[in-house]
Amino acid sequence: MSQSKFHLNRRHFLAGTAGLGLASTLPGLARAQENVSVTQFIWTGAQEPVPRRIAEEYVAANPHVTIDMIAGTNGATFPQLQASRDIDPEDPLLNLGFFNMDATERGKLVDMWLPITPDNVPAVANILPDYRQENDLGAFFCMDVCGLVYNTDYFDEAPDSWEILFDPALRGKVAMFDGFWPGNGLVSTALINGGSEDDIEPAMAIYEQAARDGQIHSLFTSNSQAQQLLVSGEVVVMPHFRGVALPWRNGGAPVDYAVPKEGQVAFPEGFQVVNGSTEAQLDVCYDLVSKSLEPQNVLDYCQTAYVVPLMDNVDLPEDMAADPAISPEAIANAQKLDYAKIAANGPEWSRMWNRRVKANL
Amino acid sequence: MSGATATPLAAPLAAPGRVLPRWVRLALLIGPGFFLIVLPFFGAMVMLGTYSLNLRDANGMGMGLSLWMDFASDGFNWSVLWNSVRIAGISTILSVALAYPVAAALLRVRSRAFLAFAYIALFSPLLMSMVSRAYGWLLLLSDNGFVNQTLGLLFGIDPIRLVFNETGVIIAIVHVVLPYAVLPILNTMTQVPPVYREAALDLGASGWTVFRRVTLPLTLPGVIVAAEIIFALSASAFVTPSLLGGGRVLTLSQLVYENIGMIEWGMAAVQAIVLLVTALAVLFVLERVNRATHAARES
Repeated sequence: MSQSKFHLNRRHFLAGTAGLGLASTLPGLARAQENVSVTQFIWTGAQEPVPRRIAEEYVAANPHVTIDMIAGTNGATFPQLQASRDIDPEDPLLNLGFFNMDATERGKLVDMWLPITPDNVPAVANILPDYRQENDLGAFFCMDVCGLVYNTDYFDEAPDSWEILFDPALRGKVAMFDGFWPGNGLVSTALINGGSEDDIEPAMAIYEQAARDGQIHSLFTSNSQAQQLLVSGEVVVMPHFRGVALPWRNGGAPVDYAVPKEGQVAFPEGFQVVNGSTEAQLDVCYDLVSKSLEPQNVLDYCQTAYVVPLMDNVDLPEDMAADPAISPEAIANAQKLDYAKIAANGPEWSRMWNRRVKANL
Repeated sequence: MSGATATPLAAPLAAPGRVLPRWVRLALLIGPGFFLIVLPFFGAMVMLGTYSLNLRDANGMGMGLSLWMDFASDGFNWSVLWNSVRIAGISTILSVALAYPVAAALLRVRSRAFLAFAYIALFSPLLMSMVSRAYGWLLLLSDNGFVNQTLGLLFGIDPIRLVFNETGVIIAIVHVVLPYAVLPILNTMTQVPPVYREAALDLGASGWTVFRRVTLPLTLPGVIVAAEIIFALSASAFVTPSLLGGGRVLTLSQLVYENIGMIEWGMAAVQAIVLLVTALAVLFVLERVNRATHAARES
């Protein structure tokens, strides 16, 4: 029997241990490289370019990942998402999406969202404390504001109160969203007339009278309709969002945004991760949220979409900081609506709206 | 060469032993259409039925006819249903009234180039998306739009409200459904032998009498088929009333959409079923009229 030529020395032992260690990680590496397909919901218009860029960069760096984008509105997409989860809770239409507080609160009622915590997305810790969500259900890193959007050819001075919507001098020259409560001034009108999210009657009575008096030109359901009405001068003032109006203005339209003295409506926006996504999908979703919450990406998004960052590590450039609509005072004075109550009361308000406002237009 | 290869292929197919049984041939003919149209329709109906009866309520609470009772006891729903039927009815009458002379004119066109142009013009509404078309109408009919500006220049009149009301909705619906009205009427007209009309004229009937006593009765089946198609399309129209109605034109299809948006699946299902049954009822009446006129003509 020949003597073995193999001698176990320290070098061999260390190499073997390293090899075993490497081998033990192989299943994990293999899993990480599995093809993963994620569907992300984004908003259209000015809100679209930055999420698309981030997704493209992510896919370029992670070739095993594909990201399908669905662009649309919360109003149209949320029911589809819920329907998909009603059919199969383990196969939702989306894995990651950009949602407002209204959809967020409706989603909470049906266990739609998964937490986005500092453990899986460290940048969540940089979101301003007032906008961190209970149980971290959502990462609301920016917000739009809703105030008065007006035709600059018609007004010599910017309107400064929600009450201008009901000024008889503007009879037939006012339009608003059809049934989009944070955006059509209904809740704001309630708040400044002694009502609340629990008591919408003061505002509903005012809107009903306005409908009967011919104050309301029309109710619109899309931004394109609103733009056409306002730019043509057919309508001269409407409740709408700064982030929607400023691209019109900067495109040359005779349109501008004004902050009502009673306060503009704070409209937080951010990411939700959808319950029912697989572990591999969740990993990608959290990576995407992390990347999106990097300060430069947040700033890029806010500048492109004309919204306000809600992160403590994002410094506003001078031109943004100088805008009175997003000054610290204006933000502090903003109406912070109770979106949970709005979501809960929405169906009843809708019934009232149809019967008392739309039926009397 | 080609003939040499064709023979061996054709022979086995022509052999009597290889002919498929009749039921298989029927199944092959009907199957694709059945799976594409009938199954999804009945599947959707079953789903709507279960939602409308609250059978899909996860808690099993409130199962029954409560949603139907809610719908039936609310006068608002009936007024909206009436709106839908009225708008569909007006659109149907206007479409058929416009389509009939168009079809009659197309029947008489001899120039192939003009005929091609006429068909392209007629079918142009179907070549663009419904949303784009609706926004086009907004630009044309708004107070500062092309139509009102032209009227102002020509007649010095103030803008007339042509959109964000029922007028605009009906104009836009008629525009898009007109091709569907022309085709069945034109098809029926081509089947009426010209000698009938010529015989009536030879016997001294005036043009109006010929139309009233000969042409119209013989083409009535086409008119009724056109009316059936137009009514069904108009009653369920959603995008046009939604974008051009400005909140003033309430239709049941909009309420269905609104309830879906609020995740009120049950009421949306009830309203969808009511809309469908109403449309079917109107189609049933029109079909009875069609059969009655056919029977009268035969007798």
